[in-house]
Amino acid sequence: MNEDKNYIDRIFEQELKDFAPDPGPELWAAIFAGLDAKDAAIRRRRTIIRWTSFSAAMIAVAVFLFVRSCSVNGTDSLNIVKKRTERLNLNNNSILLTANEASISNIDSNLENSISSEKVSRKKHKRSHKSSNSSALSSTAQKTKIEALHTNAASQDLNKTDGQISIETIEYRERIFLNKFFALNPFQSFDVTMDESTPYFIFKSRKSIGIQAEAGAGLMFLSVNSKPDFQYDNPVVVTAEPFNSPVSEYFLNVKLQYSRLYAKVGLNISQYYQNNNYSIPYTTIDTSGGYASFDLNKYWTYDTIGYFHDPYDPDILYPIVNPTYHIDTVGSVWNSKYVERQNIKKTNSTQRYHFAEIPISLGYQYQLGKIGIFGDMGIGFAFLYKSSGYYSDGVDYYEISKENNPYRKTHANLLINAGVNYPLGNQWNIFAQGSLRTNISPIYKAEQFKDLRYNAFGLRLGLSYNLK
Amino acid sequence: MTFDFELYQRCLSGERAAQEKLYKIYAPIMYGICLRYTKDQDEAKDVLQEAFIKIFSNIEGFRGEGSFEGWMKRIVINTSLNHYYKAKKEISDKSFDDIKETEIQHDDDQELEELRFNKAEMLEAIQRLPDGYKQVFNMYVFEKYKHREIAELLNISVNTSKSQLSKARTYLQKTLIRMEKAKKQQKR
Repeated sequence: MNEDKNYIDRIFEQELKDFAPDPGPELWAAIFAGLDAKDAAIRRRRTIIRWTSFSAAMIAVAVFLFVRSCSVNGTDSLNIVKKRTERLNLNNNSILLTANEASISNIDSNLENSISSEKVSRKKHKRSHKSSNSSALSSTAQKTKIEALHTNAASQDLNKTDGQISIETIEYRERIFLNKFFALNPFQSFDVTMDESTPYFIFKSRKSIGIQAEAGAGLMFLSVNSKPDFQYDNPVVVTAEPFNSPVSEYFLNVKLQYSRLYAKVGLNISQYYQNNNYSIPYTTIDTSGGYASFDLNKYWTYDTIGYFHDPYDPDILYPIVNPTYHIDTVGSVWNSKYVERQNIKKTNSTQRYHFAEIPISLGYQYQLGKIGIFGDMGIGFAFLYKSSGYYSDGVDYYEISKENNPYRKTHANLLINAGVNYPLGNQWNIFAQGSLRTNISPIYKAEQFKDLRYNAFGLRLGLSYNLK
Repeated sequence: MTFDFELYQRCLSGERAAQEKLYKIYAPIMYGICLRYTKDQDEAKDVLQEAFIKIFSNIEGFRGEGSFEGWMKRIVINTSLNHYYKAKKEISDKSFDDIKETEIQHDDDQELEELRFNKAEMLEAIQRLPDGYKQVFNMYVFEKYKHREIAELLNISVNTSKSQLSKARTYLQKTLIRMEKAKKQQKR
């Protein structure tokens, strides 16, 4: 039995070891589609990871700046202040030491003066004969000694005052330095004082941070930033003019400013208007050809295709003939051609697309007197939340709805702004900025236009309010 | 089969034409394996499709240790096994220990050496095997795995692997004899 089992193994192995039937051609198509779907999923996942990481990094930077600027008792602020205080204390100590040394030398010289006065008085006392005189002299010496001690005390007072003046000078310099340091913030100036209870400075107010709310409106124009991937039925479309359509938008942002840097997050509401009768010019090139023939004979032939029976003359049948024109050719030649035709495709549409976008930007502001010049860059995540209208190209008519429209539900944009602002009092500022919004991810559905993206250029105006 | 490094490199860069060429070279061999592990052609094609998508998606995983064909075969076998486990979750299927001895009908003993079977018949006999038998038999006979390796891969004991192989052999023997009887009856 065991041999039988081995025999089973052997016969199966011999027969089926190199068994390699053809799975058929249709399987590759399924694998191909599967690979495409997998690639698309990987690309989508990578895009999401990339932008999520970027957003997280930007938010982390914004949070870091916020925490750093808010942390009055925070480690970083304390470290900066502590270092400067230590340096200040060292300076003070050296100045006080110098003052004390000067004071000690004054005391020494005064004491020497008093001792020498005492010696002189004693000598005078020996020379004199009267004790009353000696006491008088002694009192003179005492007076001189007291004067010396007074002088010593005065010199100490003077030295102490010098030390205080030195400290105040350093304090003043410190204040100037910190004011300069924080004066980069265009919103506030800073008041730095010494807190005697602690060995370092603290800021009396949290003025190192600026928070603004800004709102405004803008008008932009769209243009296509990649070559259209659509073709008409005619042989070749050489050119297709990109259209320009307006975009109006409203925005509300919160701006967190630290020094010259700022981070911005908010909400943009945009409306894309496409309600024009477009005349899209395009060129077709026809390179087809035809045969040109050389004719030898041209003649007619008459084929009988039936007979006509005359009821009044029944014995006669009249033939019905069909004349056919003939051309005998002796040769022909292929004439190729190259014909360019300018065509115009007319479309008629009234379309509205409403996008909500969450922008996250980082920027830099430079203060030139009262005028602030700023620039920022970031990304925006946009959602299509409403669409309406119709589109007609003379042949087909499409109703635009939330589901039936050419745009994806979400897309990402790169946002670049640059502009100027001007204060309108203590709290309000007015600003104007040029804006560029370019699609990072395709805005159109893949089945509509593959990889077609927009650029939007425009101008924004708005007001900002200093919250802090 | 010689290893075409250039073709491999092109597949690595995701070139579809190269992938198609690679598919055309290896698909028949891999399809043969899939047929042995599955019940019918449709299931085999599903497994082959899944396996090739895995191969092309993870082709950078081949590090040149062993042959490329061997690497592909391992993926195909693993995919076949996974396919079985996935299907097993959905429908209750006879597994390793579910088949009772009584289900294996004992026909009259007959000398198997006298009989001759073609490839299609032998494949059919394997495909008729219960899944547990089929996997152990294929892995032991064709892939040359040891019982210890089979036990690890299928998460069964070594003794179970041995008994499954024994039962598979008996099952195949009886199946082939039965098929031969059926053939003879058709001829009459």
